[in-house]
Amino acid sequence: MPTAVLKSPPAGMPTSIVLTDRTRVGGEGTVHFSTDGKYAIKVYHGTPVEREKLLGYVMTIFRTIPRDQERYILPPLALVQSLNGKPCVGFVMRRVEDRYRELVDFVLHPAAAAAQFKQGRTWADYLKLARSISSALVVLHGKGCAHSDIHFSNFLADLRDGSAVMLEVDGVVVPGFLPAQVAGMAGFMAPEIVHRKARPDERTDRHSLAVLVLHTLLFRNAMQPLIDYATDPETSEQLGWGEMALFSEHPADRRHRPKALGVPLFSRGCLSYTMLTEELRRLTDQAFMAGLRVPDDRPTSRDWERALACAIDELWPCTRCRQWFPYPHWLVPAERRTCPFCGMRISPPAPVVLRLLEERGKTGFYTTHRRVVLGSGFRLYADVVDPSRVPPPSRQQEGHVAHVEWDRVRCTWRLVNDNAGVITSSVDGARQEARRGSSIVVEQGAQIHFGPGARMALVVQAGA
Amino acid sequence: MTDFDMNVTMGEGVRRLPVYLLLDCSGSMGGAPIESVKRGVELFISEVAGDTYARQTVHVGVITFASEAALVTKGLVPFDAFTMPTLSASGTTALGGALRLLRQSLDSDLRKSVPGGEKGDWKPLVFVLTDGAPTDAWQEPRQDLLSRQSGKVINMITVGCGTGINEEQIKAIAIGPTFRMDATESSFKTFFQWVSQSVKAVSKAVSQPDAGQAPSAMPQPDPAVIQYVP
Ligand SMILES: [Zn+2]
Repeated sequence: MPTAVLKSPPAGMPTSIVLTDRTRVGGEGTVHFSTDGKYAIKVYHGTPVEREKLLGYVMTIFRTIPRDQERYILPPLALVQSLNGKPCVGFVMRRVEDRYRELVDFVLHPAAAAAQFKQGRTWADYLKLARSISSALVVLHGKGCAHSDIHFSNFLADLRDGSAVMLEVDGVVVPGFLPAQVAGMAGFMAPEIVHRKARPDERTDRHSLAVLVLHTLLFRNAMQPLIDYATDPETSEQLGWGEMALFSEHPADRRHRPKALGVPLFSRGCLSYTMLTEELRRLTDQAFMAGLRVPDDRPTSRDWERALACAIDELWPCTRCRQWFPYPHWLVPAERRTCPFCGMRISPPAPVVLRLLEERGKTGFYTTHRRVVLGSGFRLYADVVDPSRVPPPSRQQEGHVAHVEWDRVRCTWRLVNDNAGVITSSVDGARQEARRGSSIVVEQGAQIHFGPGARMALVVQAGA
Repeated sequence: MTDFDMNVTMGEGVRRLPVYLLLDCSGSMGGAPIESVKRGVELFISEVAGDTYARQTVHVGVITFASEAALVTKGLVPFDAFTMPTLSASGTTALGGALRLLRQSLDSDLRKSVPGGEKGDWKPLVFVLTDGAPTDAWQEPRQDLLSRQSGKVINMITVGCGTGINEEQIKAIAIGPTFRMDATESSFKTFFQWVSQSVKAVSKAVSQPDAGQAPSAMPQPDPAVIQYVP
């Protein structure tokens, strides 16, 4: 059995690790797996001794990371001294369970996503996945590092719980300290890198992250050039992703606009970013238009993480194809609201749409970007009314303050109080109140209060 | 869970990677060798099918040559539409005819890159497998291929198999690297494994920044089985 010997391992780690025969050969090195299923080992090709010093830095950077962030990345835990008695350069990392697969298998094109939908996954799972990807970058960027090689083969994903793990953390970049080891993958690199005018840093990561998030949500590269820019394909690709880089849904320049854009995905169509929540559309515009050539203007990984987390509260199911997607309350008249997957008109009763407001100082409430879409049986979770929180990655443990029921007699939605406090609603001087177990009628334009210090909700669509 | 009919695509704007297989089906390939080639093509299909990148970009053209040469795929077909061609061995070795068909297919099926136009194809990968000397005129079609207007537009690899191979002659016919191997079942398997690995490596390489360095992205064949002819 192959064996790796570790270099002064930290407490709690073995001094040597027995490996299986299974390996995964990459461009930089070969990954081996321990027989106990706990560890993976990356051994670099050749013996790049200078790499060992860099690994030492990376280990120091990631020695302390919060518990809830550990799951997103695979930092080096210890250096490898030798493999089968032969000196080598490498490191040990946590082994990712076998249930994970490369992200590319789920998101490369609509056919890859459809294969998952047939197994019961939905677009909501992809939304969670995109959030996990952003969270991984938040961890890295929070440490002052950049990844420099963000693409869909450098993430392992499990759609069943929407979790993702970032690979190649050993190649992180700290400007002026840790240099970039690779340039990145075409299609994900920021235009200024393709153009060879910049080196990878946190701002070029922001572009790659935007591409990857959108790829995960739309199953296509939102920056994919659709025309050639030279007679030589290589030169053409360089130009198409670099100097001539152009958002596929640029409102004025339609050169990269897919022919099937906006056609329902399940009719050989192509998802448009206009299906996304208002906040996600705003970030996309910022990343691919305003910030395309102004790296400082690109949204940060934290911006994406937050917007993706909150988008979960805006989903609505299609009664025909059973997909979930952001309810397009912004489309008027309501007849224009259709399912982006099968094209069916969203059937009545229309959901409740709330806009969340937050109290700022003594001056009153301010509107936020957040909306909450509610239908029959939908719960209003505790995190929604807590101004310090965004939706957690899982709501299995999350309590709820209220839920929505359809009132068949009055043909209106009712909000049922499931909490100890009193919920009040007021519109045009009329006031309703509900204690635990009782309910209020959801009325257009009403302000709903959930108690002191809580977020407030404004009813922008009473539904029905 | 959902039985909803999902009619979905592989996306737009992905540059195609054309892969041509030129397969010798002359009488001398009869029996075990042609059976090995069939299994080899099946292996190629299953290997590429398991690779997400390759499956999206690879388009296949198969040219068989015996007394006549034939483009059995009728053109370049998307990998997912490619099915196992019918292969049988008989007759002579019209390699010249095969090169002519290759050139015709390159002219008619390959999408050229034109600035402002829809995306053209990547440089095609061509694998030639033959077990003997051509019985037709190959010089002219070879010259035609070499002098195609657009210049160096293909990556071609020629492999001679079995004892009927004259190294000097196959070297004279080949455009690009030349190899030889024996005609045992395991050698054919190694050959098609190498073809599959090469196609996967190149399809991944074309999504890398220094795309187009296709030959360097290609793995070397196992020298114990497939020897380079210098
Ligand atoms: Zn639908």
